[in-house]
Amino acid sequence: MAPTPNDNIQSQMKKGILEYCILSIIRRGEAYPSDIVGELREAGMPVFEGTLYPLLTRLKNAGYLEYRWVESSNGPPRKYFTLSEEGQAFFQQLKTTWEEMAASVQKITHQPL
Amino acid sequence: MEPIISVVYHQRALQFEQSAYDAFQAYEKRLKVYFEKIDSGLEAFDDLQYRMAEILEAQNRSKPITVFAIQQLIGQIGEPADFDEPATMNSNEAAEPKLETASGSNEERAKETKKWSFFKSKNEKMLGGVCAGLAQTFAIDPIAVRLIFVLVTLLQVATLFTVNMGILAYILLWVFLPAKETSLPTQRKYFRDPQFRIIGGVCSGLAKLFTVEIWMIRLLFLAPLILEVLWENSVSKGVWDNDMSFNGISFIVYITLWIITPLARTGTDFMLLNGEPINLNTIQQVGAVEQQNARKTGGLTTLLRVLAYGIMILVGLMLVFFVGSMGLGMFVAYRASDFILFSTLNKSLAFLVIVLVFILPFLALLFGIVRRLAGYAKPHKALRKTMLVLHLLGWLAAGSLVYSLVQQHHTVSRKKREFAFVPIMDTLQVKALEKDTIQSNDLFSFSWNSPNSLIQSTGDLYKCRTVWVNFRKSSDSVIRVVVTRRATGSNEADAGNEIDRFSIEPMYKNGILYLPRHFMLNKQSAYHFQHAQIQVYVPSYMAVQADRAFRKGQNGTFQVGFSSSTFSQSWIDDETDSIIRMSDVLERELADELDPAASLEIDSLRKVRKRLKQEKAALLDSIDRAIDAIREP
Repeated sequence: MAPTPNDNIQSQMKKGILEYCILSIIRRGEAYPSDIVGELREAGMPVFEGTLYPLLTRLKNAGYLEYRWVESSNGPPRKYFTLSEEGQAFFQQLKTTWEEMAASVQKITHQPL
Repeated sequence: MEPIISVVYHQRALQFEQSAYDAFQAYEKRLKVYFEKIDSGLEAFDDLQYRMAEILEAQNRSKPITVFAIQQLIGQIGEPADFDEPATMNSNEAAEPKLETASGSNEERAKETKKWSFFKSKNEKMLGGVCAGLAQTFAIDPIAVRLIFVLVTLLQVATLFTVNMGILAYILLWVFLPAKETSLPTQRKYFRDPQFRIIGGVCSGLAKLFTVEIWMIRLLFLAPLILEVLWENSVSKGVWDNDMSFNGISFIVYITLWIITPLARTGTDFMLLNGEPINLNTIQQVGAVEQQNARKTGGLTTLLRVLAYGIMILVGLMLVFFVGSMGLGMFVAYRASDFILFSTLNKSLAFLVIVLVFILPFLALLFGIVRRLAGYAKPHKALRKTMLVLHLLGWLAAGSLVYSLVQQHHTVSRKKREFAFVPIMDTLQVKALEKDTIQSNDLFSFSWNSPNSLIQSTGDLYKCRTVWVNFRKSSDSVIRVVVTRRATGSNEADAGNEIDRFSIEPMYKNGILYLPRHFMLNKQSAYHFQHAQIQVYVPSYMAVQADRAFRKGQNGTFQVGFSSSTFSQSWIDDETDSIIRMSDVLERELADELDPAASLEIDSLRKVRKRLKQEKAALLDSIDRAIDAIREP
């Protein structure tokens, strides 16, 4: 399953926006990683949990995310993530960047042939 | 049917089919190789494992986890190849830390590696998480820190300081320390262990924690108590004037640990207790927990072992000493009480009791200790049964012996005899009737048979010094001596016969009262607690001068308020009947020496003298009263 050059370009694109998407999901409220994965899948952007976890950890370590242990009805407590204040600011930054970029991309790609 | 493997994986108990378990292990290994390479990978890996445990448990509801379930899991989590991108992203970040994400993470890491950063724990707390935080900082078990706090607090309470430093420190730390997530400990964590508990599981938990055998910890807890008991009873009674209070300390420690530590309940608790880091690499089959307790040699473990064995040996030695001296004492007592046991049956029973009830358990204990030290883990069942049966036989013998003795001494009987002597002097001299002509034989040099002991064995006789003498003031004009002899027997007649085996004959000659200090019993029968009480009623005007033999502190005598040569001042008034009875002794004495007419004359003269004496006493008394009346208007 070696990534083809094609795959690689697509995954690079996906990777670039993945953090933005994750932050925007978490911004709406406390989230459990599997919920995030589910939402991404529904939105048509499937992601492995194996991909998600390192991302979350890095964002947390960078201070953008906070988490707390929430008691679960079955089994040990789960880690739920929320956005920190820094995370909010970072999200706004990403949002601006993305919107500008999207506009630019839109502009470029929709130029008549 | 495939073999099923039970494991505790990230706090969840899971059952795998063998093939599924193999597949899962292989998968996890692949994941680990990948995560080890990326930034913050291991933390993420830990979270991911946690998640996998959750997923697997959901699939494990009704049946063991199959290979198919593992495939499903992989489909959900993904193969490392599927999420290869973050790895490349990671290498980019490492190369050029321009991203805020990366720089933030570096900062965080720098903070974490800085030494001695103090914080309180967010997730692991009993009160404010202070102890858990400190424990993390110093890389020790939170229990240790909590214990220190508790002890400091208790000591403060004990010394009655106005401000409790322990509590104050805790509150200050609680307020000022920043809160931080502490990682779940990968080292051993202390729980009380319900698996092998006797009381609270404190000892068994500690044993697991230090990887030593449970008996060692129990011994350490009990040592102060055992040592104190043994020490006081066998080695040096009275050396410890101050009570040793170590047993109190171990009691407090035990109770404290009992209260502040949780009981291990879940598989994870047990794994923490057994010191198994909770990740897949060390995943253990729950059933194989005991194998984990293989001996380890940490500093503390070695110390505990040495301490435990040291105490064991010390206790062993003291026990040997204890048993030795007790056994010896018992045999001496056995020889000594020969005259009580008397019959062959009783003697045999007593012998059995000593050996089977008292000595056997100690031998068994010693034997057990030796076996234990020699490394035998299991008790010798046949031997144990034999010893138990013998021990019970011993108790049976004890029962029979008690029954036999009770039968033999069922009834207490007494015979009272009164002697009266007319005083011929103002002072009553009291002397021992006989000099001690019979020397004690040297068969036993123990105190029970020394010249001072109550019963002495001398050839064919027992010399019984069970004679008690009591002086009382009386309003009589004669000296009355009341002798009460007592003995036990199976019935009234028997007891009476036992009493008749000895006699007590006081004598009054030349103004001297001779009283016996002991009596002899032949060895034809058992000792039936023959003893005598001599009550001497002395006319109140008489002074008493007693032989050394009747002084306080001498055996065979007993006086109330009796000091040196005269005791008239310190006497206790006694109600006595005024009837004067002449005893046959007096009559015989008079008859032997004088003809009836002379004796009658002497008698009447004595009566006159007595009356005059009484009048004189009354007169002196009235003068004294008159003087007193003048002194005190």
